[in-house]
Amino acid sequence: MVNLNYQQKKTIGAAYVLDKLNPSTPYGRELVRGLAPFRRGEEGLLERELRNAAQAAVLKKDNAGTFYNLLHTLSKFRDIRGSLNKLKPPLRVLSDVELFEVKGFLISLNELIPVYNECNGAAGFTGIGFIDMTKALDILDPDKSGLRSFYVSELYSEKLRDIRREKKDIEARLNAAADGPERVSLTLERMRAAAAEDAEELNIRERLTELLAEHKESFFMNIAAIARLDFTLAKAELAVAYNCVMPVIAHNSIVIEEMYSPEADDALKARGRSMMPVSIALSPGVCILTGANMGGKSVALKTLALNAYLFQCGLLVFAKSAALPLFDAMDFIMGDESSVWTGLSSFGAEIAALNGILERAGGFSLIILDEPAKGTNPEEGRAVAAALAKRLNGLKSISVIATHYDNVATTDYRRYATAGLKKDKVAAAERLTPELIPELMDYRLVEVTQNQATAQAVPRDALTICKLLGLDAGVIELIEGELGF
Amino acid sequence: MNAEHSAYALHELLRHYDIALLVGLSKAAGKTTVLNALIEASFAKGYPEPLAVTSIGQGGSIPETRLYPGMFAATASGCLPDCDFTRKIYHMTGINTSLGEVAVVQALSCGRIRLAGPAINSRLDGLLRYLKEDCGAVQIIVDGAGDRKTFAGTGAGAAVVLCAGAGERAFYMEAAVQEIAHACRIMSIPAPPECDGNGAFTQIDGALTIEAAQRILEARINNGGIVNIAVSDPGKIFLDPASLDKLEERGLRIYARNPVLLAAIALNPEPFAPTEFIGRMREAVSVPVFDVVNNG
Repeated sequence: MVNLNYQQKKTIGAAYVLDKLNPSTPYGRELVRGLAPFRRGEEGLLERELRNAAQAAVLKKDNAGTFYNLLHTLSKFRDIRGSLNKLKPPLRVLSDVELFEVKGFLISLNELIPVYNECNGAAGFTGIGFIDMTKALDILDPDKSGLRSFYVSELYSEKLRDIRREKKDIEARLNAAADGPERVSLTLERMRAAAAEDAEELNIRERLTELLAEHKESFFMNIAAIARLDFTLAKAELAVAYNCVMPVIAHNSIVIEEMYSPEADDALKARGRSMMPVSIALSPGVCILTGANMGGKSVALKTLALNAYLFQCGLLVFAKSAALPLFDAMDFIMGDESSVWTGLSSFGAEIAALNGILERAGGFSLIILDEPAKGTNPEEGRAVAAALAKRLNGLKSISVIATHYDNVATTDYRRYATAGLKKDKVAAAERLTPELIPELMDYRLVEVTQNQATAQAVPRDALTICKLLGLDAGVIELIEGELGF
Repeated sequence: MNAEHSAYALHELLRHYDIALLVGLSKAAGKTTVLNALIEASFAKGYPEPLAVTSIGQGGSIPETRLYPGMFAATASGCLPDCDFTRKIYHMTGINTSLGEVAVVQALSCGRIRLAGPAINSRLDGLLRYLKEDCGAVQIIVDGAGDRKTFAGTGAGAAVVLCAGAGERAFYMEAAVQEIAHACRIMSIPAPPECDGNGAFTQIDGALTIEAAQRILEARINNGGIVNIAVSDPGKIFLDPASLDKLEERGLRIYARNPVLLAAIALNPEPFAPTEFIGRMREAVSVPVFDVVNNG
């Protein structure tokens, strides 16, 4: 089962996206907090979920007034599950505040249903339906006022009416009475009337609680539907804001055109730029990704992980088009495995994580390794990376490995490279500065074809990048000496 | 004692304002007595427009008051079980207190209720708006805290009633009069004059103490010998009468960006002779002074 921890969600930018989901009800917010990815085999349910979100996005774009009307109606719902839990055995009597809350819920529901039905005619949601609870509302609105306010009305009991009438009469006499024995005895009488009123109100509240308990399943089913509708609308708002696309559910391969990460893009937009979208096609087996330092390998891997994860959670995808499968598991090693807690070095933590991945490798996983074994010596590191690629290639999972090591990207694997520095532009640049890197760099992914002679060699751009970053000139000279320039 | 100094007269005066905020100068200044007297006055006069009451939660002392049919109260839901009038629940405010969420209830009969409203001033504005616009309350009385903090965030247009008594000056009436008059002077600090574009205004966000005032004088930023200071509200001024006199003599002019609209002083004359105390107080201040304990 796909299960990312918070650190992983943060690393791939999913935490950023999920934070942007802004449901209107406490029920929707809880659904987002406990967001559970779909499992492989639940493609039908996922399809319905995605389609609802896409329909809601269309509704928002084409019919914003109706969309916001729906949001506004939803925003009136408060969390009444504490009160509703009292309707489950053993039954506990609801207080007047709780009865008020339940009445408010039922009135909001009565407002929501027609608005939803109107939207649904246009949007065509599937699997979200509400149960009419007018009968339950009648219990709490005996005079059918339609008002949200609630009190234990005399309409519930003649006895209550008599008690209140008597109490009122005593109060009138009390207000007129002078200090003295008459006042003392009236005060006592009033206390008795107030106690009798309390007792009769309790009888009535108990009866109302029992009557409401008969509707408890409808309450909880409606709450589940409210949560789903709310979540769907929140997804649609996000999808419209970020131009998301309805993905196609694939069997066991990935084809994504121009995907991007909102977190990276928003950060770049704050600096007047935007993320260059990347495209990739993957099938079971290993894909090796190579490319220059700062060429966008890690961002591409995170963006892939992000969109695969959000898709699995039923969100629309940040791309121009996408076909994705459901995975049994997602395993990412992105260089942020915390080693502090385990007492292992970064290399040790990585190896421990790899072992976990191989143990889970029986199913259909998405495995993403960003520069495995980079923390050790190049000779053995290369061997570790090459061996991993060989081992993972034998599985039915989809694996992507980014590496700087030579000869890992053999023709046995599908290979991608980041396009890297635009050589002509580098040559034309007067001075190399860090600010120039985004302009000189082509972040797109290019598939490396069999007949390219240099296929197995990784790009040699590190020195140029060092110069761009303004590394000390003396050191640059020494590097060039080492390289025999 | 005559009727023009009574709670009835104070109630009549406050009808000119949407919101009345009761502020106590000290503990046992009689704030709750004033609240109760105003409610009784409103009921006795039989005005048709509804009155609404709430308090600013002050941890510890929760005022108890008596409401009449048609009146509204905003109080924590934890205070409802021991409220003994027939009540209608109008609204749950979403404002949480240690005694539960603040509820707006309407009294359908008369009886008592404990008032524990929002603990944070910042939530008060929304509640007051609800009482006014959704409940149709024409007059709202807020039992404020017994200290200066209450001034901030009560919204423009709230009339402040300074509730004061002998306090710690119980043995010497003139000292009590002077202390109340000083509080009154500080609460009457005006808003800065508009368009004072020559930059000679020193803005202070925190407390204005004698040390802070000295530092400002030492900086020698002045406008022909006049040093203008603007504090956020009068509650931030911590200066005794002598210091204030001296600073004003040296050219310091204090303004409040959020001035207080001081409408009246409600005096609890105990243990002094009411007529004498009220009489002295009226000589010492320019705002109306009422005795709400000894109803006229």
